Amino acid sequence: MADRKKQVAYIDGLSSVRAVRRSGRNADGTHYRPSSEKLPVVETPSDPQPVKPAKRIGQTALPAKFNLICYECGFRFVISGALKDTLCPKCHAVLSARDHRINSAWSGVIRTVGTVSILPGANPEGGSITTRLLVLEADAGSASLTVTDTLELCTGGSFDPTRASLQDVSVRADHCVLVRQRLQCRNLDLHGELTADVAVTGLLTIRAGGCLRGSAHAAHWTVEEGGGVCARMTIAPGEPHAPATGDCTPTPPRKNSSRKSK
Amino acid sequence: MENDKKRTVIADDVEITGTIKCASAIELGGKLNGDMNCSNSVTIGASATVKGNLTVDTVIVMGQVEGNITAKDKIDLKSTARVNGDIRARRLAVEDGVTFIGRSEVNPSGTRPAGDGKTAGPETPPSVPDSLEDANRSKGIFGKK
Repeated sequence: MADRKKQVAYIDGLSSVRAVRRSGRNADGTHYRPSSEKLPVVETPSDPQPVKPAKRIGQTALPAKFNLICYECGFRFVISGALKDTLCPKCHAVLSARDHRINSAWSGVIRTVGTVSILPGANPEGGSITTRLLVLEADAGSASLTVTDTLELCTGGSFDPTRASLQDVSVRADHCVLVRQRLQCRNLDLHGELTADVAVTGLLTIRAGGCLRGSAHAAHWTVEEGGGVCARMTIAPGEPHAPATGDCTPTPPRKNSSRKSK
Repeated sequence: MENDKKRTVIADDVEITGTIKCASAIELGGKLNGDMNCSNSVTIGASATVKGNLTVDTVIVMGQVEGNITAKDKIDLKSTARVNGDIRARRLAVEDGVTFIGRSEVNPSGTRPAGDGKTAGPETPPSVPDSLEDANRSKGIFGKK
């Protein structure tokens, strides 16, 4: 009743419907009557379908992390996500993440936190390479190598261990590598075949399909089923082993300007 | 078939001096001062000590072995294994933590086990340096040092 007395200041859907009902007539003049048509009955299933569990996500995708070492000051830090040119948090030097491919005569200096590939046909004549990842598919010659992460050896790849500062070494699957001089590294991961005398301060891993020939001194040793070993082994956890050749941390250049001590 | 069901268990307080020959599986928990020849699987327990050579079909080592191990099939060195001697087998599996001093001659071609779908192997045979090649020619795996 109050609605009938209330004056509607605006016309909206509700007020128009109410007006029609009050008038008792439809818009076309016919008397308003509730529809005799029955609404279609929605058939409800007698047995509700079981709710299928959603596909479980086993693990949240995490961005890739890169352990970088500044080739100016030697500061170690970690970045996540895509590897691109970055600044050292300590010395604010610009660290290039450019990848380099050497497949011809070359002599120079490469400093990057990316990947350097020495491809077949390369002829490095001296020079210096400081990189995070180094892929060796040819002879590195007399180039000085500083690898802060992994040196990957492929068939045809060779280098002078006395001129290299290494951390981890790996041999690509289905590849054969020969190192004539004693190879010292932190971790050695064999997916292919390696003939060498190795001294590993960390873990020596021989994967299925890998094979080690020669001799090995390691603190830890793991062989997957299918791995081959034709070598003299000395595996003694807890005993000190010969450290890796040199420190992979690049020697920061000396500066003449004095620094403020903290 | 009957040998596969039989199993000999040697307790950890047993000490044997001599040679053990067996056709069934053996589980050694004690001490053995001598050789063992078994055409079945052998398990060297964590508290077991063997001073002698093992010639077996399959061996799982969790204890201490001072001698050579020759297996027709597989040698499995668990993390508590301590082996001082040479090993020779068709297959090898080693866990982290193993102490091993000796020479190994296992799966020289580096072929993966069957069912992997991949046949690994060197594309080009490596050129062995003269020193290593001569060493391999002059003395066998169990040759005098």
